Amino acid sequence: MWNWLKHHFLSPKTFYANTTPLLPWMTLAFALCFGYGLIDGLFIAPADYQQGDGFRIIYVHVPSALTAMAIYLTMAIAALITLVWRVKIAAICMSCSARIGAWFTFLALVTGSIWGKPMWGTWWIWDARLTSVLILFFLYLGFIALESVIVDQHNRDRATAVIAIVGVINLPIIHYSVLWWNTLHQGPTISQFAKPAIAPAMLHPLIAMIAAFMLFYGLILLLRMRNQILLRERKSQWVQEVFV
Amino acid sequence: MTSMSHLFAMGGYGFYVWPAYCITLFVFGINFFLFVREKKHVKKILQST
Amino acid sequence: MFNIIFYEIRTTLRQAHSWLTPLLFFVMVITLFPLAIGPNESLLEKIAPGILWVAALLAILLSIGNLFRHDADEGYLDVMLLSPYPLTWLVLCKVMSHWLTHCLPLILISPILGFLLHLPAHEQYALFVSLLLGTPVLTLLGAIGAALVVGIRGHGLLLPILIMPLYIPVLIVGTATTQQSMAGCFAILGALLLFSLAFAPFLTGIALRIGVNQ
Repeated sequence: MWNWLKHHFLSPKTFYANTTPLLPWMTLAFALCFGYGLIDGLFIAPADYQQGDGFRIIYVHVPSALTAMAIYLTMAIAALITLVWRVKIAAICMSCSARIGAWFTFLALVTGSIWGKPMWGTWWIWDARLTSVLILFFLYLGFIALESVIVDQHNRDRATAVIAIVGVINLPIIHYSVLWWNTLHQGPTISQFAKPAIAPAMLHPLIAMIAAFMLFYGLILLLRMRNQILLRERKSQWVQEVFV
Repeated sequence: MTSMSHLFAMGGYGFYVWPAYCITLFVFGINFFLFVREKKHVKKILQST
Repeated sequence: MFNIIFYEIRTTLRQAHSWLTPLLFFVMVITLFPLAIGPNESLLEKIAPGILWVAALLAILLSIGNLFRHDADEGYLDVMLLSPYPLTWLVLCKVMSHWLTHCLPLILISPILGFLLHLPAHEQYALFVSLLLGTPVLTLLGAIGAALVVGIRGHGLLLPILIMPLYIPVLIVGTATTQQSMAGCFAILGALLLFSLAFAPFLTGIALRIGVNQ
């Protein structure tokens, strides 16, 4: 059973074959969610009482931040699988997720900054959430940097897996220490950056956009993983037969 | 319905809302473009082996 | 175990530059700040804990890469990996001797530098203890990174980039301890030390096994 799982079901060849029919459906789901979220969020949802139309940035900011964190979690799980069970597609998943995750974190930081300026009057503030996302960005970049330096494939997978796992343990520690540091320096005031409760009419496009962003990640992840599988397995028979 | 200029202004926050959405589309586009570029690269390598 | 530590210390002390340079770096970085910001006493007083901690952090960051350098060059790493002693234990010995030779001088000289930066007297004591508790944590965490890059020639600033996120919580707690001097802060530092003592050598061992294959 375990042998079948590792060497057949999770093999690059089976993964490649299994994901081929998934792609058009994922693209369709993404297009629907994104289209609905975009139109509903930009035009149909009512303007916020406090923030006016400016709150619409939430429909790109919150999904990108959530997706960035979800991607790192996925990376860390893939890293654990790579280190413990040495599954190839887990290593490929980890490597591809890093690049996509870095882009989403960048997007979260930029849209958050753009949202912050009209709402709170400043492009940046050193509170726990924003600082944690910034450190997350550095964690992604550090991962990519380490990956680019190591030449041997097997070592690259394992070394970057260690970095990913160390990072995922570190991230909550950073978040809570910055939170603590903030309360020390600001005093026990209620955070002025707390998000107010959200009305249902505004919630639907948000959920649609979150789903759209996650679907986009999944789609691009599968597409790039398939590329990497072809690249890594290019000497194997099934690749030679089908593509060359 | 509301006029085009009203939509564009976004209640005065247009300067912030539209760039945010444009950057989002840009990031989506770059990710897709990077995938396409990688695919061409892989194809080239596969042809040459 | 003590044999290993004494051997490491003797080797390090023999090459004066390996332990003297972090110390000099520490002192020089600290002197840069008054030169850059101006000798305003009240301003320096406020940021002194931060400067001292960041300078110590940078000094450790830049010297931790050499933790396994000598062993890697001489081929001792394979001996370490194959030895009957547990790798975690060997790593702990190396880290301890590295701390004694590289970090202890920094800690001992920090009160003088604190005095130069107009650090208030009551914060001097807190700074000393926070460095005493915090620099081992930095060394332990840095060892993980050092083990990962041990086989990479010319990794440059890659090691600092990898380790910096790990150092941030230690930095935050360390400077807060210096400024607040509450018992709770010291306890958190102590907890960080125990936590890293428990896990970092083990992770370093794993990283060494991976790194030595390169």
